[in-house]
Amino acid sequence: MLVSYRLLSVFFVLVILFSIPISGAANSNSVVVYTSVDQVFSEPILRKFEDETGIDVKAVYDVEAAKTVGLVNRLIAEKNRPRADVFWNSEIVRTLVLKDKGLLAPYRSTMQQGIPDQFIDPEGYWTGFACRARVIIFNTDLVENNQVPGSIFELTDPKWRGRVAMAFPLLGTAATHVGALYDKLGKDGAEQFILDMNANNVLIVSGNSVVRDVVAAGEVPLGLTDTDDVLVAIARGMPVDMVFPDQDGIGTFFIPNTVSLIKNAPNPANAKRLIDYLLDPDTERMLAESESGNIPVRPGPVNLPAVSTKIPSNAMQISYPNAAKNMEVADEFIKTTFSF
Amino acid sequence: MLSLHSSKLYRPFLLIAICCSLVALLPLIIPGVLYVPSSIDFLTSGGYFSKHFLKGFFNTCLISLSVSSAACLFGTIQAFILARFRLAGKTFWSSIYLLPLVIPPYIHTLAWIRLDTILKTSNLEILNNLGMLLHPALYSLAGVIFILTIISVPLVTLIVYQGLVSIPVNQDNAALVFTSPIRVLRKIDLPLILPHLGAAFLIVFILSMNIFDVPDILRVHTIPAEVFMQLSAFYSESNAFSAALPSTFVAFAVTFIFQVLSPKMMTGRDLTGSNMNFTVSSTTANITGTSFLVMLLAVSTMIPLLTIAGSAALADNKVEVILSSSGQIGYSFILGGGVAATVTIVAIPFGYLLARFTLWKTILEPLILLFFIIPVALYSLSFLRVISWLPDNFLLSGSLPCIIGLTIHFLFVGVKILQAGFYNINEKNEEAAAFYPKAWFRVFGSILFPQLIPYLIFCFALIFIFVIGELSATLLLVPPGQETIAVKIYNLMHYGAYDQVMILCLLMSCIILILYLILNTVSKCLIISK
Repeated sequence: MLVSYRLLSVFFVLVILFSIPISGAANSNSVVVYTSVDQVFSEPILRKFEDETGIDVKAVYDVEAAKTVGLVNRLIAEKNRPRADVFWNSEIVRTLVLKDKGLLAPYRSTMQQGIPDQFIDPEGYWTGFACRARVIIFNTDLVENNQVPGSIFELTDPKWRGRVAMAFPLLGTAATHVGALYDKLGKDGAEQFILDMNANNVLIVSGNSVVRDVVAAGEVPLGLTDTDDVLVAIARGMPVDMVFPDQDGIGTFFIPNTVSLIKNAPNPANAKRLIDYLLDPDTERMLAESESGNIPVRPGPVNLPAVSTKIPSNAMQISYPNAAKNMEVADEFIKTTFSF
Repeated sequence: MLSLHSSKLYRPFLLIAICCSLVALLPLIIPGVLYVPSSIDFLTSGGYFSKHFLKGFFNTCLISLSVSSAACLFGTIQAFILARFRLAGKTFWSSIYLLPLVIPPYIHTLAWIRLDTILKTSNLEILNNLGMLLHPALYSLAGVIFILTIISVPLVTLIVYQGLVSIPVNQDNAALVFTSPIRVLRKIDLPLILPHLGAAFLIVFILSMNIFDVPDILRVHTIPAEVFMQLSAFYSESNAFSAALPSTFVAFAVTFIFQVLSPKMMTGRDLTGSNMNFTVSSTTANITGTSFLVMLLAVSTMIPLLTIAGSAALADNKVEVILSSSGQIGYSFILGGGVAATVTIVAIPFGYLLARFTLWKTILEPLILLFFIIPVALYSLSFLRVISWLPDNFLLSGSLPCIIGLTIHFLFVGVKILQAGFYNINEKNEEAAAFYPKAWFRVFGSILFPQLIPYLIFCFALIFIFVIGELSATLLLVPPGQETIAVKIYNLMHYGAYDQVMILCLLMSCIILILYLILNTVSKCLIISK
């Protein structure tokens, strides 16, 4: 019996000793990137960077569908001793939060040429590229193409009552969209839209991918979500399509990826090389040609999968920092309106 | 209960327990002090009375209460059948009833969602109609309660079974002459296994209260989701802390009730050691018992596993998906093994103190409960802050923070399992050993450890499964460059690659199943050698 006691004890101790040293420690030729971009899209680009530069990339991926607290909170918690060098964000507002909290360092990449000023922080704390758009997704089995609303404001029409889904407007790109509407329409206009959506009994779900799933499943015929969610659904043969809304009005809202250098990053030189690489037009092209179909911020022809004829020309003109500031006002209003 | 100084194990175990508690408490002290005033603000600003919060709180309490009650009902019946019936294939049933635990909760959920899709898209009208019924039922409170119940039943069965085999069957045999097996269970066995049933209820209640993934996937709003929203929408740890407070109080209240009731529950316990003589041998009763086990196995294991297997079989690029996930699978196993082994070792002194000393049970139980009930993401963020104050070194850059964080979180489960184990070991052996001049670890190794082996192995296996599926703490604490399979599966879900998700779910279930069978065999071999 003593033998089994020792064996079992040795087993437990060995397991612990073996697991502890599994390390993500950065060596001299590595870079640590925290990214909220879907792993299926970001990983190939990071691997390509590794192959081309020989720099070892250690990534931490966020999981939107699992509703984890996310990398932003991790970055904030690690403020005293950052482990990340680069934050590659799939949207912009959380980057602005990090800038406000003093977690970012300025860096003006040599690859910024051609990127419109709207997507570059004047102080150099972040640079935007490869946009997604907020679109109306519809179930092709339930709605004819010519019946699909061409504007987000048509979603408040009583004929769509209880038949439209959207993600929690306090989270992610849905929240950013609301902030942008505050900037574009003014406080009264944006709040009226929110009230009308609530009065029309909009179905609130926990994320943009859930919007896609409930529309694809036919639970509701319409939804408000992001282009990448619709594109992967189309690629998988789901009965959905999308419309870039408000082409004749305020324009479609675009959300860029953003990339930033972390303040006191352990590997600043490699971090800058990775930022340069991500901002390279070739990277934008790779993202555009992937299933996520990100729309390049640089002008010029590009082949997007499945929606090549539908790229909108009328983009909503807003200030992203203003949209972020508006979100604080919007949050309270949304919490009251939707009883969150 | 032992007197404080009658055991050689008391002092070293107490020292280890206190050291571990201090390490675990450190991250909570500063944020705890900072957040308490903000929870008063949350109260005065009406945060606790908003419709959204109340709905989440109500759902959380209802889920916890329903799941723990239903799991205790089905689990106790299953344990009674396994312990008292003369079943055909007794060994088979005793080995297989834990299978639902092998499948992580989110895989259970995905399997039922997949089944719903298969039914709805089927060409057969009857299956279509079934799908139409299943869909609304699945995406509701009832769906969450159903899935959590089928996962929790084996846990209850295991704990109650240990109680049943530790009481003599003489009374059962006598009573069976005059009445039915169910009445025997209710009138004779149930009062004697109340401590085990209480422990099972408590564990399931708190596990259900804390679970995030199943309600989230099924779109049911709960307090863990509210905590997430406070963290991810407002970056407010204080509001997240405030949102978690009411359910924490409920968990403490339930624990307190059990603490008050436990002396009464203990009255009349007669631990005469394992007694495996069967009492129920009538054919009708055995057929009924077997039917019950078959039904439970079908709903909790066969339907989910077959759904996953069927979907995975139809998917393309199976080999490619598996190969591309080998790194994540490997790391999941290393992390799961590390945490499970650490919890198992650390839980020994805690389990011993809780089982043997009322004083330390009163002090330590609420403490480890706090580590379990506090939202794991909140604890992890505070833990990260503590780490960031320490000087950079090799160990802190690796998986150690993740192992420590998850160990502290899951310690309660491990302690409860080992506490049940210590309850079943006659304490007179330790009192006798106190007279011999042997070192404390020799006393432990030669007297307690051999009897504790099945509990240690079960503790290891259960924590391993929990860690494999854990997400919130893992994402915050995992070292850069490493990733677990749960993260990958969730990413693929978001990406809409459900075929790949099914392949990985099947692979994970098979690997854990093999591990479970190995551990089960090892456990039985060790018991036989004992």
